[in-house]
Amino acid sequence: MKILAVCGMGLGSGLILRMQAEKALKELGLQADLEVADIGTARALASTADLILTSEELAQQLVGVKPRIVTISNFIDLREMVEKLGAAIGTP
Amino acid sequence: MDAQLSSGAGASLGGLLPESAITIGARAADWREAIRAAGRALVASGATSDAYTDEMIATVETLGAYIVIAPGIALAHSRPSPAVHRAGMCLVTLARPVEFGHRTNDPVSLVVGLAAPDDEGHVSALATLADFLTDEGRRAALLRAGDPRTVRSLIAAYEGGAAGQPDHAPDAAHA
Repeated sequence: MKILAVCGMGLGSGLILRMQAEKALKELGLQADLEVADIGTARALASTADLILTSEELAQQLVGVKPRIVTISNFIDLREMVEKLGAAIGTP
Repeated sequence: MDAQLSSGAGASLGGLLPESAITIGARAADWREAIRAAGRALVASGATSDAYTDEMIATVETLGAYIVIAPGIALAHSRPSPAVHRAGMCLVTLARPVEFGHRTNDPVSLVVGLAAPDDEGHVSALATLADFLTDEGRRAALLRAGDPRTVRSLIAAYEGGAAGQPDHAPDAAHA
């Protein structure tokens, strides 16, 4: 399982998404590779990923990519991350 | 894990956030002025030159309000550029919250500014700040702080206390 955390520049909110996803996966007892990408390269990298994590705004720019997109509205709310990641990975 | 790395992932949060990079009660009429306040704080601390402020504004103009990463919190930043002299962060609390145009997280009362010359040097500090802001009590204390020195001590106390502890240390310890 490979998860792509997508943000605008690849070095701000995407890092926070990756960090929160690491914690959430640990809590869920799941393992996955996590990678950060900026919106410019995300489309090209999408085919290598099983899941994309991003904001609602940026998700609109990724319409049509293969992996399922999970949107996070509060990046520092671990509960939201655990619930959405758990639901997405648990129901393929 | 990231928050505990001392080499490779760069400086501590306190190390990237001097008093000169903290502004309390900035007046901003709209999101551009809020980002300008963050830009001034980054310039004052020596992390960036003025051009980076425009680059942070351009990020929102191009990509939208996705930088409002949590209710009330915007993470203003752009990519590495000649206007970034070194890794730095800033914190700006707003006298009056402003709308950034985000569907769920407006209005913004705290602007975090981030300047990064590469994609490594700020990772640890950003992770620590995100962890710090996760807790409602700590967030409220930061927004209540009357001066930059108080903000610095809140962060120093958290960084000192958090070092070496597991990620999920009970928040009751901070009550």
